[in-house]
Amino acid sequence: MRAIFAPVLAALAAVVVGGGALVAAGVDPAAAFRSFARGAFATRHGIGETLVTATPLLLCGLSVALSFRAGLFNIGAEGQLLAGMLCATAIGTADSPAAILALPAAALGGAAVGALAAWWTLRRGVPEVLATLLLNFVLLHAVGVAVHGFLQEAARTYPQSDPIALVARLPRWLDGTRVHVGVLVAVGAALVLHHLVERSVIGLRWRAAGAAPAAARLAGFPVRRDLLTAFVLSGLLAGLAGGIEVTGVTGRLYESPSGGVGYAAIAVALLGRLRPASIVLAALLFGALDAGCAAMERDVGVSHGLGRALEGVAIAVFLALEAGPIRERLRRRPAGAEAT
Amino acid sequence: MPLLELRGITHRFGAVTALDGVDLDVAAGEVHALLGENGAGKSTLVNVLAGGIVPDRGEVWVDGEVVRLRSPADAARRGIGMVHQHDALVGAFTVAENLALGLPGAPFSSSPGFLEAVHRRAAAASPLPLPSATARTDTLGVGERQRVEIARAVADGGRLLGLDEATAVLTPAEADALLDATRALARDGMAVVFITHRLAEVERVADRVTVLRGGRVVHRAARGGFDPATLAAAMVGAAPEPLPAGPGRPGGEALALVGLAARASDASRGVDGIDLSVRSGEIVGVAGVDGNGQRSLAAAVAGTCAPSAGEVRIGGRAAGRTGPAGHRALGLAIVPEDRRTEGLALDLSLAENLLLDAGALGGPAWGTRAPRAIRRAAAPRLERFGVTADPGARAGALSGGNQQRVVLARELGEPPAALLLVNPTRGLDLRATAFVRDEVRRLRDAGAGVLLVSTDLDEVVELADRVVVLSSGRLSGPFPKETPRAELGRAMAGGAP
Repeated sequence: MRAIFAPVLAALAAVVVGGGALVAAGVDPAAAFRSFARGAFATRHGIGETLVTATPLLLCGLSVALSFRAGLFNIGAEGQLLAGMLCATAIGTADSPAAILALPAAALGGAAVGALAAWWTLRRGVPEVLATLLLNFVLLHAVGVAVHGFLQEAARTYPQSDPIALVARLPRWLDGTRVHVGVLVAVGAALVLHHLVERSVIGLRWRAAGAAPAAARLAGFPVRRDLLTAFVLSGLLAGLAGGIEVTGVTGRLYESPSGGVGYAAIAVALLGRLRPASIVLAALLFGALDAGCAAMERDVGVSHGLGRALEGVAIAVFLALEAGPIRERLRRRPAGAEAT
Repeated sequence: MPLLELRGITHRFGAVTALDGVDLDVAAGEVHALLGENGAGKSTLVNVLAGGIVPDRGEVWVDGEVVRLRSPADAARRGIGMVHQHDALVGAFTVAENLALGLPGAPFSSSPGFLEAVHRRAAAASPLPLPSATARTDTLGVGERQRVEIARAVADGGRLLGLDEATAVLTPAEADALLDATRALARDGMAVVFITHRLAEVERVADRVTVLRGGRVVHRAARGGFDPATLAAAMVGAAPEPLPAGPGRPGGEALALVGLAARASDASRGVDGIDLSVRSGEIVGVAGVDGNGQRSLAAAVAGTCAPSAGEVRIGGRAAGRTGPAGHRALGLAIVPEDRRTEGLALDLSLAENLLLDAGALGGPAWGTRAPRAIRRAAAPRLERFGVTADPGARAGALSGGNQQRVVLARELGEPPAALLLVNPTRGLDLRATAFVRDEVRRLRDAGAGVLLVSTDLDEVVELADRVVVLSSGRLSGPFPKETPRAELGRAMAGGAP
């Protein structure tokens, strides 16, 4: 019950505070909220925008949740997502039938970055927060290098790639919207992850390693191997998010293409209390906020920053409600170096 | 008039009475030793002295007036300084900066001149050579760091110095120097409270001794009246030895340690040259004062720490470097020291906690373990071990006694060939303690070999068929269980009989 209550209250708080902010900004709040509703959920197109925006948030939120449940404070979803975008573009713009492999390539790219962070953390004893955060910057600049260099469009005009080959584009399936099959992939990933984390052997081992690393070790679980698996699967999910974004929405790789989705996903995962089913709801909430604010910006001239501010309010209220459980999780930090 | 006097100090932690009506007085110029086993209440008493604990009942008198020491700073203002077992220095600070911490105006005046003056005053007051003012304390050895702490306690008006197990972390030569320094301080008029569990040190430095057991003063003596046997008996308790439920009927080797040397990464002390065989159908108890290698020994037997020499044999087969999974596969069950972090995952359900055993959980990794199915499977086993809570309840919601029952339900549910128990009843109430001991005896009678590592001598004597003593990382014994406690106590304290 509480799992649902906290996000709803957080959303309400965002509405109240947001209304105040709109009035302060000299905007008619009624018109703004009408526009928000149309953009987020009151129209067919709005629902589509919410779904499309929620998709990478969901996949990255699942990525974060998987790592956090295993006790790994992996904040590398952003970098892994960028790696996915890079690989999807590299393969998807190729002038060959292999372009159809853009999505698997994205997943692999994300997983590879996850594996690199795992090596750093589990073998070299680098704190995982540091390892994953630093890789985010590496990947951010790798994208910059790519769109100015080897992946730049043939025309060499803008810092962007050529369009993704048509065979690699994700089919759309709701007329009048941008909804693509990647939405289904993300929902499927949530179902699979729910099964893995809550109902499988390795899920129990992950949760044991996260809740009590010493107990997991004494139990004889292969903790180090399990954490490697968690890192790699987390990377795979975030990489998939990047691939879906490129092949389903943008159709090209741009400079700074993510907009911080991988970081927002940490909030999504926490808002969903690290449970795959609740993360679906949290991602929808964030997706609706984003889509609705984009509509407000278009229709009534609200600044795009306000959307981010509303998200911030939602997170802050949630954290106030849930500070206890989250602090618990942060306190029991298992260091990868101790794992065997 | 004594410099400091404690009258009727009583303090409880939850249901545990740590101190029960303790009186103690210390005069300037004397060394007053406080002797007792772990859990006797020494540390609590030290904390009362140092202002870390305000006792539930009783009075603290300083210079003939009642005071309330609410914080270490409070105590320091009255000239009471404490050196704890684990040093309280800021590692990234220099010696002089650490000395200056807590002095009036220290955060605002840390000029080199001020720091040098602080260091000079401390060096003059210190009975032992002080490390250089500009050395970072995390680059110093344990003994040197301790000297900084002692200097801080005695400089600038310090009149009473508490030393809590100060020699435990020192090399013999350093310990010698510290004992001499303690005498020298007393000669200069300092009052010293010297906490220890080593009889030899009492005889060497103390003017008077007070022995604590179970939170009460059980013996007092003054120099000239020290009798090692009496002190040892007072410390470990001369209670009539309870009869065991019946001796074991030992069979073949269940668990053996052969020339074992190991040091766990989180342990202050390793073990070396350990030779010990546990036959099936017997309980071998490892007695010893905490910090003498118990953690390393247990880690090597459990498999979390690979031996640096020798080997662990379980059921007659060398365990090699197979880790806890390998040790468990050879038939070892493990009831670890800290049930809250090693025994259980408190955030997981009871049913899930019963599966924190690689063998019981089984593979493959991607296999399904549906929550409802594991709860159903857990119910009868939890019931058999007297846990009435729902199998879906969080382990963290249970009391300590019930948590230990869950650990036993997992480890003993399928009777193992060998069992490692580390302080299995620490912190448990009487009923839970009796339950744990009965289960261990029952397992022994069913033919398991049990290795009991415990710092509770009563427990070792009550349960074990044979007793060995772990002291400074080495085993002595075996002693037959009829061995007088005073003799065991001396072996535990590291002294010759």
